[in-house]
Amino acid sequence: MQQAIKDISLNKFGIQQRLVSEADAEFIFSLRTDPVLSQYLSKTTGTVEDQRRWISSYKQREANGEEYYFITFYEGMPQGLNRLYNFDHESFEVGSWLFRRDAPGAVAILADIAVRDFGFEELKFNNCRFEVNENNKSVLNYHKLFGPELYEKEGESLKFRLSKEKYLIARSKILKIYKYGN
Amino acid sequence: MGIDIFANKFREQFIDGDSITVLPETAFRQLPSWDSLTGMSVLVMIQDEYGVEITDEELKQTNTVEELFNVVNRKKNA
Repeated sequence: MQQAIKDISLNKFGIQQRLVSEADAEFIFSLRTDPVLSQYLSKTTGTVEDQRRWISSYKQREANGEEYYFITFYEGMPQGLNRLYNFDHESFEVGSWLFRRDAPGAVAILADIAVRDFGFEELKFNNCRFEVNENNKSVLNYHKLFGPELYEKEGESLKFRLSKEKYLIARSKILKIYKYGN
Repeated sequence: MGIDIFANKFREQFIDGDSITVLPETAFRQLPSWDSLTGMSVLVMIQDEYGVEITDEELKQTNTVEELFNVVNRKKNA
């Protein structure tokens, strides 16, 4: 099991990220129940209170170092979410990538880079896994920029694995686009 | 590489690239499937195929495929 990292706050690429708390339940619920934003995510039902209870349960997994769920802020406003979970001995899974419809495009992308950095650099994993619905063409195109390996197809779900080495190559290209490259 | 090849590579970055037409005069932001992820794919393609770095801010200053191609060429020849 990973050693839990406490009090995580990421501040890079002009955005700020912290771990979610129960107070974020309404915001999270609003994104996860947006019919357009959530069409390719696992379904969320119930109420904001159910979301709050889910977060409460998640906070225990976070305390155990099993999962990290980030909320991203830009110019002081909450913009979206990313989650690292399903850790195994050499990889983390990244998902729950969900941003407001009016969030600047760069914010969602830089948030993804920032949490993957966390998984590789802070959690010391060598690989990243992610799952994409084959009909989610836009997100599929984005992920393919990183050159991942497709290791499984289950129904409409495509499962990818991305090495740290390949990630860093794509990361460098992407950060140059947003003037954070060297 | 000429502008027609550039326009073709530009078109290939769209999720519906097989079913759209992209010409030098195309105002790419008007294409229904244009989004920030497509824009990023275009800029990565330019890095890979042309060896030129175009930022997101520089892309925002262009409106047509030809205008972007001209920026790429200027940088490449600089």
